[in-house]
Amino acid sequence: MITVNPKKLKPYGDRLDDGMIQMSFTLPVQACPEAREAARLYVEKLGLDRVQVAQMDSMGEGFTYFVVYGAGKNTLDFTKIRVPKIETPVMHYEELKSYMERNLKEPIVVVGAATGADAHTVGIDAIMNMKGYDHDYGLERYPLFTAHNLRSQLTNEQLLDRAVELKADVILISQVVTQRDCHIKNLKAFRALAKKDSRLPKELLLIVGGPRLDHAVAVKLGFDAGYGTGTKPSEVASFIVREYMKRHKIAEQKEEEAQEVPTQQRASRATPKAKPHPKAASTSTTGRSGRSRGRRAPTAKEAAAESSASKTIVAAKANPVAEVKTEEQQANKPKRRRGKRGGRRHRKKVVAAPSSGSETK
Amino acid sequence: MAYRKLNLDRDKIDQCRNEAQRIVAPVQKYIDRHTTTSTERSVLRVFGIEEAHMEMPHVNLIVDRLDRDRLRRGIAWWFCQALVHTGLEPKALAKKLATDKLKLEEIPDVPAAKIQAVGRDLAKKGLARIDVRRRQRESLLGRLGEGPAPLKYLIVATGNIYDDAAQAVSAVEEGADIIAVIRTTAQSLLDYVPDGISTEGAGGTLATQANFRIMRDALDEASKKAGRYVRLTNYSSGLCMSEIAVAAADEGLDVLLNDSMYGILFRDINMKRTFVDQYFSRLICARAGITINTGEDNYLTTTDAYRNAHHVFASQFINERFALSAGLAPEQMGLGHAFELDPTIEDGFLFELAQAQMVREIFPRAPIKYMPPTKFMTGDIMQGNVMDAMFNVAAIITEQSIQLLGIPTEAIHNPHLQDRFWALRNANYVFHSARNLGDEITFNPNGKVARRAHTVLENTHKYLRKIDQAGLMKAIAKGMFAEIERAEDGGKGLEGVLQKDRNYFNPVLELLKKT
Repeated sequence: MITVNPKKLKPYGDRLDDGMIQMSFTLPVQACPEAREAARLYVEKLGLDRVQVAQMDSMGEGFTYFVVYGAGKNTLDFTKIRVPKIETPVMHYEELKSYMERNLKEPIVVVGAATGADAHTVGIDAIMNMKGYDHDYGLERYPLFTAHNLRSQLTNEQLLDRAVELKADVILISQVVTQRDCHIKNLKAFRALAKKDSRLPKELLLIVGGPRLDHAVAVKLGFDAGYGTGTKPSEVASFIVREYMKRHKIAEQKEEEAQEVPTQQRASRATPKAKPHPKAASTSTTGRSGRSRGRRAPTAKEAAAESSASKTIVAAKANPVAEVKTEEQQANKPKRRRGKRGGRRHRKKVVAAPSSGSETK
Repeated sequence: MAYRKLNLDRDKIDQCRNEAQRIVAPVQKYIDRHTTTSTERSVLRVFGIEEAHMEMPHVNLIVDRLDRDRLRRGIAWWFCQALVHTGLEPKALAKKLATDKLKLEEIPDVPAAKIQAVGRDLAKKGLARIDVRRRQRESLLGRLGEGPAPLKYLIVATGNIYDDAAQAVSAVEEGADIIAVIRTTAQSLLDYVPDGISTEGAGGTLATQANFRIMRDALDEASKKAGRYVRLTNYSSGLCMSEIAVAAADEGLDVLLNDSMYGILFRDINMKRTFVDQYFSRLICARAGITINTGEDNYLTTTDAYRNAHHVFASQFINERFALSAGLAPEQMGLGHAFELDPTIEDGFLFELAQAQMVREIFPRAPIKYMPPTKFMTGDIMQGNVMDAMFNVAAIITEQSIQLLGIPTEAIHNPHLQDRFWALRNANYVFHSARNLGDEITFNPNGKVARRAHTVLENTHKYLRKIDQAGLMKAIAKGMFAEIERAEDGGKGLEGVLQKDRNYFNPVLELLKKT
C-alpha cells in the first residue's frame, strides 16, 4: 500500500511523488537541435526537473512541435482546497413537477438568453424549450415555470430591461463563444450592471451556462450557479426551485413517502422498484458529488488556479450518458451484466440510458 | 457500381426522392413568388457593386432607401432606370445613391425596353466575370491536381485573417486539401456583409470579400508550392447567404456551407426568408461551380443520433431537391452527415459504418461530407484522438469524399496549431495505411450493418411522408427537424421578404434560370 501525504501532494507518474508531468506545445521556430534545447530549457524555466524532450516534429515552415516530460518540484496541501459545488439534489421532471405543485403558489418566472455577440441558441434552447435536451424536458414544459426564452444577441442592458418588464425571478445567461475569454468579460459586465440596477428584486437568481463555464467560475463572477456542457434542464430546474424557496423563505412540504437523492432515483427506475440492489442505497447516500470527489481528487484538486479550471471543465463536459453509466455500474452491477447478455436488448437499454426513464417514448 | 454493398431497396430510395419532390414543390412555388432584400442586394453585387460607405455596403444603403412597394418590382428595375437616365457608370451611380445625392424614386420614367436592355447587359457582364473566375480555378485545379479522397478539410478560426492565412499554409504543408475559415457566429444575423480586411473577431473571422481575397491568394501560393490544389471554404448562410455566394464566386472560393434549412433551425432565421435566399444563393453556386456543403451533421448534436438518424437522410433528400431546383449538379452537392453516435453504445461503430455507407450509396455522385465526433468529445484529448481515428477508419471504408478532420481538443478551444497537426497525422496515417480497405469489404447481408441501414432507410421514407403530410413549413414548426421548433412567421429577417410585383425585373435571375 502506498500512503499519500495529502499535505504534500505531487503528481504521480509510476511512483509516488515522482512528480511526472507530460506536456506538449509548439515553438514558433524551425526544427533543429537548438529548438530541442530551447524546449528543454523552457520547461526547466517552468520549474520542472529531469526534463526530457520525447519528441520534436516540424510542423511546416517555422513551427515545431514537442512532447516533453518533466518532474514537478512543488507540492500542494490538498486538505486546504475548497471548491464551490451545487449541493442541491436533482429531481427529475415528474418528481420536480409535483414538488413544485406542493410547494409553490405562483409560477417562477425565468428569463433566458444568449447575450452579447453570441448567436448560439443551442444551450439556452436545450434548457428552456419544451423539448429540452437528451430526453429531459425543458423549463417551458413545467407548469410552474413561466419561461421566456429571448434567444440570442441581446445586450446586457436589453436583457435586464426585459427581465424587469417580465418580472423575472431568475435570469439564465448562455455563453457559447469563448474566444479570448469574451464570455468572462461579458458576464462581468452583466454582473456589474445587475448590481447597480435597483429595479431588480434582491431575491433574483442569476445563473450562467456554457461549454467553458462551471459552478466555481460562476460563483467567482458573482453568479448564483453555473453549468457546463451536458447539463440537463432538470438539474437547473431543481436548483432554481430549491434556491427560490430558500430566498423566498418557503418551507418545504414533505410528501408522505419522501424520495431520496437522485442516484437512488435513477437506480430505482432502471430496475423495477421492488428490488433496489443493496449497493444502490449505499451509493445514493454519498450522492454524485461525493463519489466523484473521491475519484477525481488526485488529478484535479491540487493545481490551484489554472488546472482547477481545466478540471472543472472536464467535470462539466463528462457527458451525461457516461455519468449515468458509471453510476449504474457502481450501484447496480448485476443488472448491467444482464443487459450485456441480452444483446439487442442491451443496445436499446444503453441508448435509453441518458433519457431519464419515464420520459422515453 | 463499387458502392452497392448494403443491398438497399432502390425503389424505396426512389420513393424518398419522390416524397422530397412533393415536399419541396409548394415551397419552391412560394420562392418563385417572393424576393428578399438580401436577394436584391445580391443582384447589385452581381452588377459589380461591392464598395461601402462608412462601413455600410452601398448595396444595403441603396436597397434600404427604396420603399417596399417599389422594391417589389426588383432593385434592378430602378437601378437600371437611373443608369439610363443619368448615363453614369454603375459604381458611380451606386455611390451617389448610397450617399443620398440621388434618389431612385425621383428618377423620371424611361422606356421599359431601355431599362431591360441595360439590365440584361449588366447581368451578362456580371456572370461573365464569375465564369472567368470559375475557369481560373478550374485550370489551376487541372494543372496541379488534387489530393486523394477523402479530401482533408480543416478549419482555421483565429479572428485575424492574417493569422488564419499563416495557419492555413502550415496545415497545407501537412496535407490539408480544404481550408475553411470559420466565421464569427454573430455574422449570420447581420443583415449586411461587412466590408474590408478584418483582424478582430470572436469565435471566428468575419467573412468579407477582402478577407476572401487574402486567403485565396495565400492558398494559391501554398497550392503551387505543395503541388496540389487546395480548396477554400466559407459560409453562405445567415441573413446574407446569397450575397456571400456572389462575393465567394467573385473571389474564387470552391466550397460554401449552404443549407436550405440550417439558418432556420440553428440561427432562428425566419424560414420564408431562408427559403427564398437559399434559392438565389444556390443559383449563384451552380453557375460558379461552387460545391455546397449542407449541415445535416448539426441535427445529430441536438437529437439522439441513434434514434433520429433518419432525420439526417430526410433532410438530405430535401436539400438535394432544393439544390436540383436551383440547377446544382449532383457533383456540387456536398451533403453532410456525421459520426456522432454515443461511444458507449455497443456496436456503435457498426451503426456509424451503416449510416456512412448509406449516404455513399444513396448519393453516389455527390461529394459527401463527413463530420467528426463533437457531441461526445470531452476534455479527454487522448480518447478524442482515438475517436477521431475510428471516424477516419469509417470514412476510408465507406469512401467518403470530404472529411472534416476531427480535432482532439474539440470542445476545449479553437484548434491550436499543434491540434491541427495531430488531426492531420491521424488522418494521413489511417487513410494511407487503409487506402483500399473499402474495396476489400462486403457486408453480411443479414448482419447488423445491413439491417441497420434498412431500418434507417425505412424510417426515412416514413418520416418524409409525415413531413409531406404536414407540409415543410409546418413540419419545421412542429420540430420535425433536429427537434427544434421554429414558427412560420417567427425568427429574424421576415421583414426582408417581399411578394414580387407582376412586373418584377431581375435580369440575373432570368439568366441563371436559363442555364
